[in-house]
Amino acid sequence: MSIVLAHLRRDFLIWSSYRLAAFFQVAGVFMTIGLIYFAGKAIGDRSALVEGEGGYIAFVIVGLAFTDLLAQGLASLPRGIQDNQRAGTLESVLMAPVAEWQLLISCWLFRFLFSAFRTAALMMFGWLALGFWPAANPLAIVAVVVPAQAAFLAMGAFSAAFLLLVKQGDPVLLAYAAASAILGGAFFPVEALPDWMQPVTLLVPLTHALSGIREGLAGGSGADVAPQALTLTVMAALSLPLGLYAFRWAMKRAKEEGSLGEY
Amino acid sequence: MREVAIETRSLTMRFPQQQGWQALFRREPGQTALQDVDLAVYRGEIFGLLGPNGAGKTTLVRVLSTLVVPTAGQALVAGLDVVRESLAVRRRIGVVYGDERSFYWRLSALENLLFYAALYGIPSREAHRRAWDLLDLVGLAGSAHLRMHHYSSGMRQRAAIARGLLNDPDVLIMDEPTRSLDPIAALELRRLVKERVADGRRTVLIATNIMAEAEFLCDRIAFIARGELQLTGHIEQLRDLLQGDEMYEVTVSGLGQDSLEGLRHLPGVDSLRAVPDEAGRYRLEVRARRGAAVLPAIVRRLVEAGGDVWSCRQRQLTLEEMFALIVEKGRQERAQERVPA
Repeated sequence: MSIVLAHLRRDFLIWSSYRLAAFFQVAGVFMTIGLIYFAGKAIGDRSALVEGEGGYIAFVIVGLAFTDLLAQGLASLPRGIQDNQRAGTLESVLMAPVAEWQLLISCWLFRFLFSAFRTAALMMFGWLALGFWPAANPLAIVAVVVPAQAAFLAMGAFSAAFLLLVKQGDPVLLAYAAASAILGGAFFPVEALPDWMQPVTLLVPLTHALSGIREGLAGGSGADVAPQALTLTVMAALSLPLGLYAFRWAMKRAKEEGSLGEY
Repeated sequence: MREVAIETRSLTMRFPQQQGWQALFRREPGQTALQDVDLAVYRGEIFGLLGPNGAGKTTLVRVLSTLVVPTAGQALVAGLDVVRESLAVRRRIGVVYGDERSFYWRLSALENLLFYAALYGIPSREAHRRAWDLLDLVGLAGSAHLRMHHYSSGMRQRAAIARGLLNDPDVLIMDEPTRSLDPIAALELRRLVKERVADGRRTVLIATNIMAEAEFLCDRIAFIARGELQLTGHIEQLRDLLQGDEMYEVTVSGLGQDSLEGLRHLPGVDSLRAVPDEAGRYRLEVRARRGAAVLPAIVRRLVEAGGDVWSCRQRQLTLEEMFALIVEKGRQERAQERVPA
């Protein structure tokens, strides 16, 4: 635990040492809120496919906020590894008794927490300023987010493994991010996709995650989100051990090549 | 019998030819960085690993630091296998690299040390105490709160030593610790290692290509070239082994070059070089067969010829000369291998 907390503290200290960048990152959250608000006003209720309270604005807020949060599981692992490679610190960290899983969690935690802040800010804006989701069930949302994040972390471990092996141009991150953006239902309902693509959307964890989260925000109970939570749990249970194995294998290969710190 | 702290058995490292995408589908052995290295470093000694650039020193250090997995053979640190028990090995070692970019430059030295202390599971209060003690030891307590991008190369190397000692390691591995330091900073760092870091209990392995560094610091040394260990032993033993000849330096005045050249014909003299200095004297560098007792004959001849002898001394091979001999020997052996039978 101390290893993970030490990384969290390190990441915060480094992040806050770039004061102007930190300011713009926080300010960027509020700029996003403004952008969504005015875009939503312009679109109004004209989106025939979006049902429920809040219309398209509420739909996009949820899509943006939770895609950002969940995507941290995917992107933060390779980015954390790459940041350390570029700084020249990966090897010095790995010369300490740090296990592979500790390294992965350490790469993820700060980015996840900062993203959670962005998600919370967007959701609070929708809830307090726009009056969306009055009957939201936070526990149901958590029940979906936790396995969804685990499923994304598994893909992140695969992505980090590729990064260690090929250094640049990791296909997992690119393919998974693109598939999630198109098939995940973040910016438009998956029903808008052609019929033949509908089954493919079910293979993407983001589809189940956003569906469950929207259900929870609409006041759905634990039982209502159980199908999505269960699907995501199965996805995570299958992919997480494989992802960790792939990362360990890639680490060993990089050590055999002597290329651990190369990027 | 002395306890062995570091041991390698037939340690071989061949980096694969292919890397990146290609290595996923095809893997052929490429450059050999280490070849059947057998090494034993005893507990408490300062051991020097000497060799030219590209000799395999850093690869060996990286294998011992668990950053590189060897192709064949075995490496043990504190009795633990560096591949199978890598986490346990990392708890027992400290590593000091010459690479300055192994710290988070946006953080202060204290913040860096506290971060690395946490990686070793050292509780916060203890970590603070150790970090301050070590910063004091390496003379950085006054700039503990300064961000490391403001540090000089020498300060970063000192901080690297402090980091290497955080977990009070049984074995400290140093890879070219004075690289990129100016001569004074390098000397100070060597003194620090000799006087404060090596405590007789801790084993220190230093990889370097600076002979004076090894001579100043090390109890024993090993020469490595082209990935193979050439010679291992005490510096004096190696000198005796390599030094087939005796070397003398004689300072003389009042004689011309011709008279001095005549000394070449004395029995036992292999070579002679007369180097004039600014004071009008000559410094004679004489190489003679061991046991030929040529020094008295040289001095007698110089005096009889009317010269004034200002000084004379027998000189030992420097490590540089020993190193050059080993490299030259290797070159000759390779040339012989190339000659067809």
